[in-house]
Amino acid sequence: MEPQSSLSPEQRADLVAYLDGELDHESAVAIERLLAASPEVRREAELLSRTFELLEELPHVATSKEFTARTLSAIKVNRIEKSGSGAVRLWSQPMRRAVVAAGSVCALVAAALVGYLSTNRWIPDRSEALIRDLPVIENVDKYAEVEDIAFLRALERSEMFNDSDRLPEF
Amino acid sequence: MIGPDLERYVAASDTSRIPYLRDPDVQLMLRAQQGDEAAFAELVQTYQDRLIGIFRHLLSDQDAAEDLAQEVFLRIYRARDRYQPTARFSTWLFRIANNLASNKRRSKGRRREVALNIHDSGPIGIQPQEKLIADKSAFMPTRQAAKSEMREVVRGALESLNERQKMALLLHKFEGMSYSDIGVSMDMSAAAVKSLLSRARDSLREKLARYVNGV
Repeated sequence: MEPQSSLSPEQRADLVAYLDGELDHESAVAIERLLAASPEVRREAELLSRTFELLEELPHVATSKEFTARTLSAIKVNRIEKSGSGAVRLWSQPMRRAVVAAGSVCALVAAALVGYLSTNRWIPDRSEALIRDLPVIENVDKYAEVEDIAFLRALERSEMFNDSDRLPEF
Repeated sequence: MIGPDLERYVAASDTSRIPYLRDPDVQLMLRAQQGDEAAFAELVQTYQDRLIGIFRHLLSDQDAAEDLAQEVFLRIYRARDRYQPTARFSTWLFRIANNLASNKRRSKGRRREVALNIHDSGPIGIQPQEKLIADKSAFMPTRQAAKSEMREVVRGALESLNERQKMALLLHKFEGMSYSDIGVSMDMSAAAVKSLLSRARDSLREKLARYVNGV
């Protein structure tokens, strides 16, 4: 292994930056003084430069022929997917509102229907009972004067009255 | 060719404050932002070899390098609507590349950790990169080393660097990026890049001493 030079880590970093053209003027002047004064630093700078040049020996990387086409196709697919999902989003917004509104109306109608049917079927209507008992109500005074139901039935059988005067069936 | 919208954009912008608008690749990206597919294809063609080259050296795997390069271009394409020319285009592209490479390294590192555990109790240990280089070097006297062998040694030396050193070195050497631009791409200060590159160059110099001393 190559022995380390007497440069401090900061000086070594400055030397590398100097070789890369990245050092500010003041620091560059300081490194140039060091280079002028020390053969060891000059040697160090030379080795660092050669090392950097050796990186050019790295194997050249060849891109596969289909890479460009494959990448542009992937981008095209991405664009189509994005525009497709955008259209769905734009389309689904009013659709969603319409479905919600229609659903609300249906629910309202269904609730009204159920309400109507349940009140009509299970809650007794008082007027129905009155209509059913109307013949009795209309003749209640007459019935009150009759003391015996058997007498009334006998009277009915005698056919002295019209059909309209018949006693209601109980 | 610059479209009328882009011309208006450039004219309306203060180019002294946004110097990157003069970067031709930034102009291509702005055209791509306005829906010019040909401009984006031109960017892909301009950067694909460079990007795959960097990834190939970082990952030592051609297929993985191409997959990652494609992912970089896809991310750039997806982000085009939000693109702002706040840096050179290449700086932005390599920032995305660095982030993706970091993620890839992390997942690869987790897999390697498992693999190392398997071999821990086995008779064949993992050979450190330096030992591999030394072994190769022992059979290759500097003056007689064939060019292909030299490439392998340099590649081995590069692989012995840590991932950040490698990335910074590749960006500097092959992309000619300044310390400041590397800092933006790697989310570091220019001073940290300087220190990173100095350590990388020292490490390479030690590993390649046999070759550079004899030249």
